[in-house]
Amino acid sequence: MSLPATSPASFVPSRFLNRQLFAIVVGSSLTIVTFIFWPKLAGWLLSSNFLPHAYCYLRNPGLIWTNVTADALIGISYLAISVTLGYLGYKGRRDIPYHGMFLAFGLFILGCGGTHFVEAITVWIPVYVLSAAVKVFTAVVSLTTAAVLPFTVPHVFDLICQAKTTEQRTAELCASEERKNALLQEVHHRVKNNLAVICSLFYLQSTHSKDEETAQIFRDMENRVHSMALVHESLYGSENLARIDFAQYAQGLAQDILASHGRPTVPVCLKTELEPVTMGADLAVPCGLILNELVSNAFKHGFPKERGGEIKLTLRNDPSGSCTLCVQDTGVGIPAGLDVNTSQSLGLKLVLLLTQQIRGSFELIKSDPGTSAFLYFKVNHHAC
Amino acid sequence: MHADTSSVEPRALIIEDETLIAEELRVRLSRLGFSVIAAVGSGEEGVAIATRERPTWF
Repeated sequence: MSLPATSPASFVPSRFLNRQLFAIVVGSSLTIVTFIFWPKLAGWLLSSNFLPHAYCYLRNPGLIWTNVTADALIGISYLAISVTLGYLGYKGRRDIPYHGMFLAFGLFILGCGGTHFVEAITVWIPVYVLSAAVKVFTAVVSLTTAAVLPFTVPHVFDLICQAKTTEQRTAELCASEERKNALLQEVHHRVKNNLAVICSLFYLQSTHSKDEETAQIFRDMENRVHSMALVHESLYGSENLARIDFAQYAQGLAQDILASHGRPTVPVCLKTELEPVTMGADLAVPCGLILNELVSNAFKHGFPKERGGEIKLTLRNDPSGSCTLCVQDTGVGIPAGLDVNTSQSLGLKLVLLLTQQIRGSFELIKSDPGTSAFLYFKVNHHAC
Repeated sequence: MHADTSSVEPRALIIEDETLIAEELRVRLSRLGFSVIAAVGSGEEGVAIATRERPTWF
């Protein structure tokens, strides 16, 4: 039997398993070898020069069969219990502390079962030496278990205390997690509201502007801040409050931009082909601002006056975390010789700066018809 | 929101606790041809006015 574990080394499963297997193999081999080389021992152990128990029962069939049945049933039950305990102690050796005690109980109960089986046999075959041997074995195992058991009691109480503390700490952690989530949600909500107020300020200022150019500047600013507000709005609606689905965000943002430029007579349609990709606010804010510039530019420069057409938004995401965001339009196309790096447009400058911030790359190419803008960047799937 | 298509001049009630956002909405709605009957900061006030004034939108 195993003593209660006092050092972590006792819990090493491979060592434990090897020890048990070794003990079983050695024990069985020794028994077989002993019986082969010492046949007299087997003869002595199985000697039956005594009176069978049946005589004590005066061969009363009712009494004999009641005793035999009861002993057999007790023996079978003890065998089943010891097999279960042995299995539990073996399977749970990694997780159950003092699994050795389960094995000890198993062995003890096995011994008890053995005595009942022998008791049933001795009714007819008087193998009292074997019966005594089984009882001695059971006595040794029972005594050892009884002697060791009291020493494990303080450890078991410790374990119960630890389990209770763990339960309490888990409950405290859950409550703390809930409070943290509520706070985060409130913060994102507050940030979004403040940004929405800034949007309102820009809008109101645009309505007080003397000329269309100044009004447009304020509307551009309103859209830029709106793209940031939308990130925080998506965040407090998201499951883990840390990452948003950029596909869903991009769809909403593009629709808002088109609505803000509202031209009901000759419509510019929005088409989207967006693969889901989640990202944190640190990436979503610059990506959102870039998307805002690209869609706004496509709208403003691609479709002057009464020209209609289509803006297509594509988001591709491969398992390695490489993303491609593409804004294509069927507008008039970029002017020949436009160099993105030297352009005086604030929108393009912002795109380049933000691309640099997210360590991505950007290209603007003239397609037929219109313009295609590509943003390549990496998403860290594991970051929170 | 509730729309009453039979109304000639749609009347709107704004319920928004951020006054600047409410003001933006007021300007936007006015530009779209709505008559804004009030902009209030709480649901209770909104319900009280809505019950009395019966706006076409709120």
